[in-house]
Amino acid sequence: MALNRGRLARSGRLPCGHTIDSLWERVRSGASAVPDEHVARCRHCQTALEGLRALHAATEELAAEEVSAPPGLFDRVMRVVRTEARRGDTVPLVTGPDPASVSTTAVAAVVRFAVDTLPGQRLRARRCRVQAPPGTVDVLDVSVEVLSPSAAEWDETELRRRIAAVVSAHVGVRVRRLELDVVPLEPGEEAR
Amino acid sequence: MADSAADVVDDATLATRAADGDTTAFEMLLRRYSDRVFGLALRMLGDRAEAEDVAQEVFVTAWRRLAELAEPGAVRTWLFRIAHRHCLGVLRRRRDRRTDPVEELPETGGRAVGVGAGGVADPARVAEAGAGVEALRRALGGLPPPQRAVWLLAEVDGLSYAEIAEVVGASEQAVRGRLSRARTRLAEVMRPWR
Repeated sequence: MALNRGRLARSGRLPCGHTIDSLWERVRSGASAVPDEHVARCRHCQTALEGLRALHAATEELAAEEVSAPPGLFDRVMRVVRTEARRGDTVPLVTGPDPASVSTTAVAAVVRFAVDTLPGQRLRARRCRVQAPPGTVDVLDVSVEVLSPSAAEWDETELRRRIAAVVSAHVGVRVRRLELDVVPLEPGEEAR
Repeated sequence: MADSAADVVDDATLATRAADGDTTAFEMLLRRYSDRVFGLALRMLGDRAEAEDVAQEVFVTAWRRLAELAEPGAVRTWLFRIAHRHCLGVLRRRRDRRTDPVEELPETGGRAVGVGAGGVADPARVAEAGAGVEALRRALGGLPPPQRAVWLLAEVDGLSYAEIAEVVGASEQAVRGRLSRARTRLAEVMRPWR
């Protein structure tokens, strides 16, 4: 196509002064584009519009194609993730001749569950740190960030009791120190 | 409406939890974005096997480095950024392996997407439905990879200029320039398919 290729590719400007980008916006807005006398009569603009219309039609088709990741991808990624997660930090549950421990990640998941499911609320736990105080067994220090809709009213004592109870029931350890960092969420922010 | 919005856990929460080692949260991120990351890689590379390798690399890298993500709400752009970097790496290695000088002409520089290398099809012969989109794939394959990436992110993934700038590590002005050059070039190649 002899459309002043080199010059056009550099500047994106047609010999008549109109830009490819402005014509593209015209094609994209379709029927709602404001009629333009110059564009209607200019052969440079008309030639460019032909290409841009063809590009627009093919682009819509390409964007509408549904591309699905291959089925094996999910399993392969999660296998790596789970293997590496198991190698994380642990805290001791019991000592003695037959010691046992639990991963901090597993305890954090239980803490988040306790926060997320506080009855009647829509709290969301985010960052959660779990540590065993040095030399102790069966006690943990926990800190958790809690996202709360700014208008929500809930009792912090109740949440603390709930976290302690759920951790005790599911992990079998006592929460010694619990740090709650409550972050207020403005309406609409949580759906981001 | 409020209910359905609240039931979908937001990206920032999932990314923060995954950074803490929560595999379930990571699994949800993977489900949410694997098609789009794979799609970008496929359209950048034009090869399913390579695109799958890139997508796998992207998510394994993401899992290992999520803690470094300063803005957890931007996890989507961050995944695209990792994917973009890996795709350019694959294309660079592909180019370095080439010895045939003909294949280094700009028109065939990045292997045509979805078809064999090079080759200009005759619009009159390729008259069946979908010919336009095939021609576009081929034309995309002929763009320099940085232009192809910017064009795909804008037109297929619908990212804003600011997001694209973040993904490709360039200024918004540079993104606009690349996009404009890509559009000009594609319009020229696509004109016979009007």
